[in-house]
Amino acid sequence: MELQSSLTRRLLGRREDALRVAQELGLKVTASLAARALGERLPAERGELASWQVDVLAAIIERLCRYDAPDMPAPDQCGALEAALGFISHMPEESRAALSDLLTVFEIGPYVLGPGRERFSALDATSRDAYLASWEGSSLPPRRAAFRALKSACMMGYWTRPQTWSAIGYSIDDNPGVPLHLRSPRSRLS
Amino acid sequence: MAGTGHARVLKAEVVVVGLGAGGAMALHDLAAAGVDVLGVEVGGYIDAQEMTLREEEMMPKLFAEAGARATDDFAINVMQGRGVGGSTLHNTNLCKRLPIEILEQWQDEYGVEGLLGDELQRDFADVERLLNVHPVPDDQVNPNNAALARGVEALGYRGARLSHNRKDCQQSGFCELGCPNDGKQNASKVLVPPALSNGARIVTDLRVDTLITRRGEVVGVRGHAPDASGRRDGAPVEIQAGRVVLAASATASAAIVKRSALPDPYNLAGTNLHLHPGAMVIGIFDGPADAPIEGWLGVPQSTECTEFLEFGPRASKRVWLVPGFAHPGAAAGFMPGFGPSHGQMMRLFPRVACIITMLHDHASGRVSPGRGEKVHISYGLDAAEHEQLALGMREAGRILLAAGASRVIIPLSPPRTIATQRELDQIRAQDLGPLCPPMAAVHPMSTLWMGKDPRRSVVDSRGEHHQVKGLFVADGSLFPTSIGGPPQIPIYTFGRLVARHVLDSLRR
Repeated sequence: MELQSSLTRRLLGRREDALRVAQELGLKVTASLAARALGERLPAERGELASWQVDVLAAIIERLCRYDAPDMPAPDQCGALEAALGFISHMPEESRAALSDLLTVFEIGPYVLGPGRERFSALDATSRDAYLASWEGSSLPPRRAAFRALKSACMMGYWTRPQTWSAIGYSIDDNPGVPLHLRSPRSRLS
Repeated sequence: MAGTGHARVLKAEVVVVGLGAGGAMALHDLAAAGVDVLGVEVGGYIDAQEMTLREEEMMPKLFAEAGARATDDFAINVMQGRGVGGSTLHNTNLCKRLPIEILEQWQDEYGVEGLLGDELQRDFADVERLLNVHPVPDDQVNPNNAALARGVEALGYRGARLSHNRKDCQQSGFCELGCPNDGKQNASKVLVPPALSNGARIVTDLRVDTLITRRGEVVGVRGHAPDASGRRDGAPVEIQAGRVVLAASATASAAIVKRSALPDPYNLAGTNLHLHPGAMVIGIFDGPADAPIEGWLGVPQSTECTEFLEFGPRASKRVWLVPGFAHPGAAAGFMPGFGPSHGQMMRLFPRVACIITMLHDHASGRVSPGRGEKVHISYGLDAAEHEQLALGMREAGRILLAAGASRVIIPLSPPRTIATQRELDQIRAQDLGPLCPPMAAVHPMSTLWMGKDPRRSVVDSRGEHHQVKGLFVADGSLFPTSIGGPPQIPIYTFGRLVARHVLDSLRR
């Protein structure tokens, strides 16, 4: 690496810090304004999710993990939301707060980004899918990044449910290297 | 614990911050020398019996920020360990020494002393004996790894069998979620128990936030234990010590240094971050004659391709190709799309073999402290790195096709499904950018690097901070450049070297 001069490093560092703070502040302010426009309250405690934000997350999981296959259970039938929330609860407060703001912005997004004058969770299934696809394939990296963050949490919620594993041939019980005490009781007997 | 003011106070001759490979080795060696040493770890002590194999349970226990740590633009997921043993709890046991070209570069460009003689090689050998490092035997190469080896052989590329630190391995394939069979010869198992027997103390679940200095010398650290909920800061803690060994990883160690506002006249601390970022290429083996791959079973990462990996400042090829796999929760996040099309992709899960294209990165980034355990990571790939990444993805695809894959998936945006070698040539650097492909990194390094010149490095060849006496660094932060391979053996070994220098400084 060609080492930068001390002054350049300092200026670059300050610029990066300023950009990051501006982005964080921008997301926070946007979320605050969006919540007001939606007539919703942001969570009282930083890093928590309000119940309406949990509903938004549930609506996202419902579309991302809706596989329309008999051996892939619907997310609300296998506890995917609860698992995703459990996973999120272990993130640092700053990350949880950013996710809370992101869910707010995501919810109000359809007013600004299309497809219509409805909040995300009020859209029909087809419109929800189109809206999600617009985030996934956006030409703006921050929107794609936001989609990736939400998708990671949702997929971690859904695909860690044992009820989903048989569809993809995955199994802990059938793994000969797994100690007996970590296999399910039924498997241990067989 | 004694108490002064509001903080609980502990005292030791040396405090080691972070008990991963480097910190645990320093703790082990200092305790063996009779030093009053106290190790502090932000995570908990996790016994093999507590490894439940469940992603949603183990990710928060074994990974910083529950496994969700990422660069500020979220383009690169940065997976780092936490808990007694650090990343050695969840790594795949890859063991390689530092290449001679890298050692020469560190000597020639950074003035690092003492790396080219026999002593370092003897230390590597001792560490390998201690950790029971051996090549993975033939009968433990699983189908995911065999696919890479087959493709490498068919193409006449350079490849090899890798060495691991395992003993009595049951081949469960759960290395990345913590070995349930205690087969890993990791820092927690090999180094911490003898350290405790020799009088070392450890404190878990304690986050060090800042260093305490007085007149240019370190005199201790300050931090917080969590409250009863485990989610917020509880009691402040102060540890008074005449020597501090910082080994909390290249992100957390740099964050602690920067939060402490140590003298840094050349604005170096936290810069020069290298990550070894990697992207996955997926090969589908769904022909009628193909046996399932089931890549989650058996020993991960036992083979490699080094055809496109050169070292040193003039390296023209800088990609390391190794098999990779993830359990369903993490894998689903990387698979493109959502809904039914994503479901179809997930159905291929038992039939895919994956190769990671890992960059021996020349590009660098920067770390700054966030609130609590959070760190901010600024890092971007430039055009030269995108050229390397495109090269690696093309060649990973070529290897998978040569191994018999019916097609490969290149996870660009939108993803490309490719069935011929000719189509692979169309993957160009210009097609790549942030989140295209999504990337992950497991080897942060270089943020508090060694060197002779205080204007061009943060610590000296002994690992001691140029500006603050008594402050030593003993993790991947030390490496002046990226190393192009797995860092655990080098970090363990540098933990030993630094412990030796700490001991010398105590005896002076």
